[in-house]
Amino acid sequence: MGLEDLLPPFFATKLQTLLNWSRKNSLWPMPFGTACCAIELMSTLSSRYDLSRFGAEVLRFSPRQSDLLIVGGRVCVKMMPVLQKIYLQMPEPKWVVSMGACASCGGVFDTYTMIQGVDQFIPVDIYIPGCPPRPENVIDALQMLQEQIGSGKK
Amino acid sequence: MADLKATGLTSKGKIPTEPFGDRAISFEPEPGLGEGRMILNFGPQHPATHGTLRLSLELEGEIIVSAKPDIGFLHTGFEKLGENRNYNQFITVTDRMNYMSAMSNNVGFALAVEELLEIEVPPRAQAIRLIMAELSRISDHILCVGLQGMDLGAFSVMLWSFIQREKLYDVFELTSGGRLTTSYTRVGGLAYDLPDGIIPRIKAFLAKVPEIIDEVEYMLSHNRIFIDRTQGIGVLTKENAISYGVTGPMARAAGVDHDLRRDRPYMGYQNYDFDVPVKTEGDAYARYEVRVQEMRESLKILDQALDNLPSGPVNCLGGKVRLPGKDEVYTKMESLIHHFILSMPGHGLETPKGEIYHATESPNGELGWFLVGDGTSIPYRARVRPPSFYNYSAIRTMIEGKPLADIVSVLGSLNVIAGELDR
Amino acid sequence: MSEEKKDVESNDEKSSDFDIDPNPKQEWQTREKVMAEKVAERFELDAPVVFRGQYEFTVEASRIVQILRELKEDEEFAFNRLTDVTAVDYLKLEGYEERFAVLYFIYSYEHKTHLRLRVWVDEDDPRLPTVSGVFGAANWGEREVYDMFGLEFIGHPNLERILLPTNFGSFPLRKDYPLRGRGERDDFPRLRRGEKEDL
Repeated sequence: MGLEDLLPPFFATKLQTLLNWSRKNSLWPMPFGTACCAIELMSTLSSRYDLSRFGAEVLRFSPRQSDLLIVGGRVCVKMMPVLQKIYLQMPEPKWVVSMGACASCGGVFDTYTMIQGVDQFIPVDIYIPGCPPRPENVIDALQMLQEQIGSGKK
Repeated sequence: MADLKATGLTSKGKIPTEPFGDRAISFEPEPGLGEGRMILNFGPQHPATHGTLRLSLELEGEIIVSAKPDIGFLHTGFEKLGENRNYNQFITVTDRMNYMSAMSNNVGFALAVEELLEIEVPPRAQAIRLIMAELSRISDHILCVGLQGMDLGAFSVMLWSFIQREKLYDVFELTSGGRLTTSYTRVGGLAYDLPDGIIPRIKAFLAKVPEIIDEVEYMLSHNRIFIDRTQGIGVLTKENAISYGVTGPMARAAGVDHDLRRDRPYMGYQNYDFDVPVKTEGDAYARYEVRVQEMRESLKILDQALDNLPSGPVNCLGGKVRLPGKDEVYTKMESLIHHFILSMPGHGLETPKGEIYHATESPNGELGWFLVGDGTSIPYRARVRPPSFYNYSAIRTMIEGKPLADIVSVLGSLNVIAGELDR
Repeated sequence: MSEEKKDVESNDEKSSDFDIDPNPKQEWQTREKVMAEKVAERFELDAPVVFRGQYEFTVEASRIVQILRELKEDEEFAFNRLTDVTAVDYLKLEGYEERFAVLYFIYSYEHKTHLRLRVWVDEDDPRLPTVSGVFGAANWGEREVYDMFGLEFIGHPNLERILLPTNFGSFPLRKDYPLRGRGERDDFPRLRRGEKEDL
């Protein structure tokens, strides 16, 4: 249909750029939602905010199938080994979003059982503030992460 | 709904719903198979466990021989935190306990402290608290029904119910400033009065709710997959419900005719006209039906409450319990002193030495607070009687001897909120 | 919008014919008083502690199972639900008999009355009999008390930690345990980027 005429005779790019471009637009999140943030995460995914507009709607509860770990909610001493196991089970490349105050720093729960920030024990790429963060914050964080993945920084 | 009516299938219409008959799957293990038992670890990271429940199952074929629930994956130390925060600070923490219906928790805790202090809030504050508690009941039940549908494959119901929940979030955000974690009550009143124009907005929302409940009911009550996977599944007998301390919609679905709002009224519930839906089947379907009915009853209460909302203050200013408003703090000396006394460490509310238990009917059941006052502004012990904890303790009686696939249906119908279960 | 506002205003005026029953508590407080008198008479208990209309009896640990069973099974009382079991550590308060108290909240669906029973537990020998044979709810309730306070329930079918991991060393709701813990929350290996799963 003449499409060949529109395209340049050859199309050169770095393979890495192509990979990053495809990775950033097809993130498969694994929701590790435990508490209030999980409900806001559900809000983000459902009709009004609709995360699928940004190419990240394929939620997978299996860590083997996903590349974006969203830690939403409080993580306690009993849960931390589970979280570490899930992090290790995810295939490379993988990214971690720490959603909300509790996951990022313990939030209002400075108690004997709460992990004061999951970044002490697993690498985190993006932090989302808020208790719980609004869905707009989650979308903003996702776009920031996509930008970084696209530019090859992460 | 117009299309549904055109086909003669309104929400009350009849669709044949008998089970599959001969095609029903038999769970007799085939000879040669099913020998030897298998241990299956279910959760904590499983879509049906909502992230934080774990069950160690011993299976024979597909039948659960014994189940060992393991909880505590969201243990936050609320009760220890309660012994280190003053009464008003702790209200912020109660939001995070049952995040599906934060307003109910706020109200329950504030009422318990007021019982300890023996103060009564003005009628307007009571009515607003009641409105918020009932709105949060609707928001909890509508999502619970949606999630129950989602766990069994009816994904649209969850999306539909979330649209309504978003509208309720808007109402909560207008009143309290927060979508999910509201922290709206204070000891002795409310954080603020209702904003202008909120009542028409709530009314406009409520006018649409019956239609939405009809739609959800149409989607599920006539859905053969949903019916086959909930009717007769996860049966909780009345004896077990009483013995395990199960309360709320779960107990009412099992035939326990008890609702604190009717039987031990608080916050002025005795003035409203409503019914308490009770079923006797005790299965997952009955729990769904009770929740749907309860939403309709909440609507009745809300209509009456919104029509009869008294005017007047929303804070009791006698007894120096409530923080004075900022406009007064900046202009009046006494208010400034009052503000400092209430907020300085080592001062604050003067509680009597005594121990009280106060319970409210939260969307999940009896939410009780046991407070030990020691004369300071910090509770000596703040125990919460979480409905989900006791509701979930009966899980073994519901799933043992049943096929593995039932667990998903049963967990969806229990509405276990992990924050409340593990605290 | 303006019509709706008018509606609200006119409804405000209507509110005068809305029946208001300001104190429903009186009715059940009388009921609970009668019930408490009956219980005291039947089991020969000391006078209850009454605070804000709530009754609380103190019972010796050796009698708690028998008393709860009779309260449950006798038609006259019919306290058929154990609402909650919890404990309080009175370490920092003066003037109490022992350090720990276990509290049983029972409720009767028939009579719609609450009652609270208290058992004092010695600090040096923190043991008391289980009531999980009487109420199913006591199974998890007592496990939680064990988990948080370290009180042992003799004869409990499955006395393990319930909320905390099994290797957690202390009992956090005791008053001598700090709010921020003793370093349990910092005791995990640190994973690095690119670390592989150890299969």
